[in-house]
Amino acid sequence: MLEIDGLKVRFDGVEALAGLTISIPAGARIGVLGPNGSGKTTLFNAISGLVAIAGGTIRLDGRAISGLAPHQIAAAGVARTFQSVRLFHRLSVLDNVLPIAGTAAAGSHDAREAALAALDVAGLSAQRDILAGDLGFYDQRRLEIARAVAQRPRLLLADEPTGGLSQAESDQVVALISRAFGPDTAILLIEHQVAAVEALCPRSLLLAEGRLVADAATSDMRRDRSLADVYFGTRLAH
Amino acid sequence: MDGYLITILSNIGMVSFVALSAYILLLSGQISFGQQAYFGIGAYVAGIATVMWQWPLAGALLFGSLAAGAAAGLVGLATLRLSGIYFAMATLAFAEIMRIAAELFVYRRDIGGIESGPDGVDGFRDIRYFFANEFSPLETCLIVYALLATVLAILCIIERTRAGRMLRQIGEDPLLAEVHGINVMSVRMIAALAAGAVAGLGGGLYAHLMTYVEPKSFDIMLGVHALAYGLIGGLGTAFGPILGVLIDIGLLESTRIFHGYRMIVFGGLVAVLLIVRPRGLLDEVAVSRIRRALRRRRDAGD
Repeated sequence: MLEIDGLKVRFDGVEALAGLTISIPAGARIGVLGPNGSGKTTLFNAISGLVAIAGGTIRLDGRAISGLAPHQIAAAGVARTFQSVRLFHRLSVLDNVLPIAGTAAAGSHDAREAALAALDVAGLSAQRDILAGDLGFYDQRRLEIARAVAQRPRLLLADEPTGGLSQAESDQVVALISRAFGPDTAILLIEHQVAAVEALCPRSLLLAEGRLVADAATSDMRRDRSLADVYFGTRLAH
Repeated sequence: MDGYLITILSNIGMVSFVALSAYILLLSGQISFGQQAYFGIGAYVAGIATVMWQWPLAGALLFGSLAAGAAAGLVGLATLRLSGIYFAMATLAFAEIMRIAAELFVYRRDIGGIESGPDGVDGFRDIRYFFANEFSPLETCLIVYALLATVLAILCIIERTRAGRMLRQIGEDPLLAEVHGINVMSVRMIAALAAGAVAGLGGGLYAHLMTYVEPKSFDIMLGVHALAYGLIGGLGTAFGPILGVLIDIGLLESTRIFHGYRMIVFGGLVAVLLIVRPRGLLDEVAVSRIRRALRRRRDAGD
């Protein structure tokens, strides 16, 4: 469904992504692991069109999306949440969701229904008329997910959706992501808590220095030396 | 109603169009110092249409508005990829070019035995449509408010549609809006066209009510005021900029309480509001509270 071939991204001569090749089947749920600076968020930015790519191709359902504008990539079915919560604080909760719901809906009535349904799934129906900026942090995290739900995406790029939350809230958010998206939606999840990744993603990718160093079952990766090596730098020391 | 009050009301109405024009762009996140140019284009084009071509008023106003919208579209092509201070400078530069062009613009013809038309620095005098057709000041004032009410109603309806929410999303965070499927450039373009057309309509009315227009009618002070009206009155609703106009022209200019000190009071008001309430009196928070209170009252009434 998502085919990434030889993807390269450069920042001022530094290779943030040095030729990634990844294949994501439809509906797959895949963790993206790696230390800070390994290229996880850059990979998401490249897929969603926010950074220019220096080489390689990205295909969604056979169609090349690399080089398209971000809004076209969104319309093609790529949803995105941000590591630091990014909302329209001056708009109501419902108004945060309505425009994006419209990209997947047939008409304005359908868009409203989809937006309300997405808020319902995320448990935010009661807050729909208040400004997003007045929400608590946990609700803001859930609103980001509600927005992605309303988009009915083929692919969700979730960048640390549990960042800044308590353990209980994190578990709730992971459970929300797990039930809110059907088998048609593939999920790529960046997450530092390996337990959270394991709960959602049977398979994980491990990035280091812009390269894919492992692609395996999450449970195996947990036991495998490579994860610890990459995180603690033993591999890089050589 | 006495003549003075009608004149003040007409002034408030006409300036409201420029305030709304600047407001539309402020919603899209762009600060334009050049909306007065479209006011000027609308004034000249509509004036030429009734005086030189003997068009009826409705056609002339529409044509002036469309011409201003078209000019805004052309300027938009060149400037909408800019943002912040660069966009502000580019729009100001265009407006000054238009003002200076109007100082050089001479288009005189003999109309019914009188030489008429724009005459450079002296401006365009004797736009006598209302006089010739025996409209009373009250009637012309009503025309202004009928058109203003129409524009306001359209803006209020659009704000409640998906397009209106898109505009506000773009205004707050264009990158996030883009990632959420909104073509930021095309929405900004439509906003610029609409803003130009609204200012042009106000300009057309101005030319006919004042019976003249000159290049300094649309100098930078008009553009600065237009921006300030939204920032004073609030960006949460289209009524915000109207409130700003009411405060400035209705209170400061017309009552003469601050006679001679109007600009000092006005400037001070803008400065204070930008510090304590940067998005104006009727900002998004205030409008959201009012909406929820109204909804509660309606629900309680059912």
